[in-house]
Amino acid sequence: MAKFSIKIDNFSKTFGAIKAVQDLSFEVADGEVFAFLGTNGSGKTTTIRCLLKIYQADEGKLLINGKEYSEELNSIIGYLPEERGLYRDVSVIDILSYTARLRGIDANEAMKRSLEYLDMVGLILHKDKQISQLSSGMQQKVQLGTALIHNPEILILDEPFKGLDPVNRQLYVDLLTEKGKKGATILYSTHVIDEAQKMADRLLIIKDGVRLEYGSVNEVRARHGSKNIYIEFGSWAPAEKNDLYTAIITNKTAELIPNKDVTEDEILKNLLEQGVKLISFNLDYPSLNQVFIEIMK
Amino acid sequence: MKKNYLEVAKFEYLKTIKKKSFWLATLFLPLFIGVIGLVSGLSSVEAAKQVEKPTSFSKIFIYDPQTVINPAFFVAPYESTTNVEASKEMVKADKSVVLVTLSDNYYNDLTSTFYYRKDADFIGTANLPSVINAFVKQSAISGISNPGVINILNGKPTSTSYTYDEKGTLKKEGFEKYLLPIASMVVFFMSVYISSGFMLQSVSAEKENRMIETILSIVDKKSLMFGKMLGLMGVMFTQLSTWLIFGFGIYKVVMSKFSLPIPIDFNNIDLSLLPLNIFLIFMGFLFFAAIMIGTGAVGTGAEDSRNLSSIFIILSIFPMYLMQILLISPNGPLSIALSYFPFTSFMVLLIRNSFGALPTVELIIGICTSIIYVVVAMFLALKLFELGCLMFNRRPSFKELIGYLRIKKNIQ
Repeated sequence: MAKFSIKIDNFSKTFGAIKAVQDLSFEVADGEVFAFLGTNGSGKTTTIRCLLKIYQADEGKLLINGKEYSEELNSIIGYLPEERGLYRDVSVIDILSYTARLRGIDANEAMKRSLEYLDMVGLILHKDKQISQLSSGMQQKVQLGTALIHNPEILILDEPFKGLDPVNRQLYVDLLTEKGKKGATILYSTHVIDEAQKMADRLLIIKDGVRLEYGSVNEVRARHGSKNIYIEFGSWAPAEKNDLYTAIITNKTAELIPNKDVTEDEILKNLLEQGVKLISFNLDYPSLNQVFIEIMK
Repeated sequence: MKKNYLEVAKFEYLKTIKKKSFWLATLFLPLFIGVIGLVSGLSSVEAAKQVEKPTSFSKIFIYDPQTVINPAFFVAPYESTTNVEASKEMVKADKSVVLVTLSDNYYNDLTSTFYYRKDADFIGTANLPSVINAFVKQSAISGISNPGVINILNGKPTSTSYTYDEKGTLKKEGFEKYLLPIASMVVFFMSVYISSGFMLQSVSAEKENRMIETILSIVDKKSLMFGKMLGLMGVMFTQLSTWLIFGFGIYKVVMSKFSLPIPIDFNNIDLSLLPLNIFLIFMGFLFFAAIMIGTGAVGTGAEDSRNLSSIFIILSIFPMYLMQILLISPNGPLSIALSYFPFTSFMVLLIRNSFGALPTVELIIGICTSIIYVVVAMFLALKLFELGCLMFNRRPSFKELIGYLRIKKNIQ
């Protein structure tokens, strides 16, 4: 049974007459990269802010490692907000070591980690400069550092790719992929759907505070596809109809229509048992981007 | 885990005192005030000299029918005249010539009339009545043979006051009775206007540069507020200590070379008033710091927050305009009313207490109301902070604030 780093149960939040989030539930498993998708104003930021107690939830449970957020959890959580910025008149090294100390790291270790991070992202020569003296790209690197400096087990990132130039976007992707490989749990909201398809294990799509889709990337895509399978074959053609599927065969290609409750794995196994030499085996799934646009219509 | 408010306090303290603007304000503000005082003092001395020596006039004709002025005193530019009309013609012809006519009955009515051209020296002509009065007075004194009388008329009298306290003990009173009120007011102004100004700057800048959400994801709002207050209190003490050290140093240097114009007996300062003054300054700081947190959080940016805060600053300095009334009648209805109006209470109670005019009952009520005002201000500041700190492009409306205050503790 999967252990859940983040568990949200029947969460609701209103602002005056506006229902920002309604009865939302989802879980992020330990070590999972989880994408939180939705258009502007769909309730992603509100959910994240309530999870971190920046806002108070009206109803529901929002748990991190089985507990409500408290300062005790600071040492294992890294957060990158959507509305981000840094003190303009404070030096790079002071900002990084300050956020590290706030996370419970002692002053010497905080300084050491800050220097290591700056070295890693190529900003070591700028450590004593004030933030206002750095380029926007450099500031973004420092910003990410405030979330990663304490080597958190759980990363919560609200629109991490927003406003990034291609170079920094790749840097963010690389750093997050690296963290994911090392076993960190990553929950991130984004508009960059292609990136989510590449990076995320599972995802949640919300609209107007209501959950619309939830599951692994392929599960969600499959729910919006025809489930048909397209194959190319090199030797003889597969059977036109059996217990698992019905096929429409044309020359060296075929469209297989699975019978009810038959999975693509079972069909693949069957084709190989028939001795069909497969050149390609493609599922008729729409891209995540297509799913997202279709849902949001 | 280490208490985060201490980290916030340390960061806020170091962030502020590392700024050049802080040291410029700390070191140059007293210097600036000193220079202004010196320039003002020197110009007063110079003006007094000008009064004694009316060098801007080439000739001052004096018509003196009763011979009030001793003829020996008529040296340039003064000149006695008996022909008023001829003197008037000379005045018309030359803007540096003045005619003064003493009345026919000057010994009784002390009346004189001045004639000069419209384009004559503006300041010189304004001072002329004082110059002529001094001139006439000096002439009159010269006729007195008793040097004691001359000393009375010319000398500077000195006096010593003694007061009986509640126990009937006789105490010497001097300038030192003004030291405590002055020092208290200076510290109060510093804490309210400079330190709480730093608070406003800190909160509004954190919101404007969007660092606030990162910090709030680590530190809860109360710890952040408390940490900021603690840090900026440290800033206030640093500023005070710097001024105290510089002030003491300057006092020592000055005293080694000169003596004070007014003798001060430091042992004569009533220190029993000090604890309440310190309490009121501390409470005043907390009250206005809370207000600055609230305005900093609801403003859309640093400038907007400054504009909002100016309303409260104006309200708080209102007693300064009524200082004379407060001093003349420290227990009058206006003084009492202002003692319990939140924005003015700390300053008015401080003034009244510094002069020992606060009755015991009012002292107790004052302590209670101060605590209540601070608690209410802190509560409202926290609510405004919670509501406004992440509202980036607009201010929360009054309706939103009321709605927010009504929200009960959420189900967690």
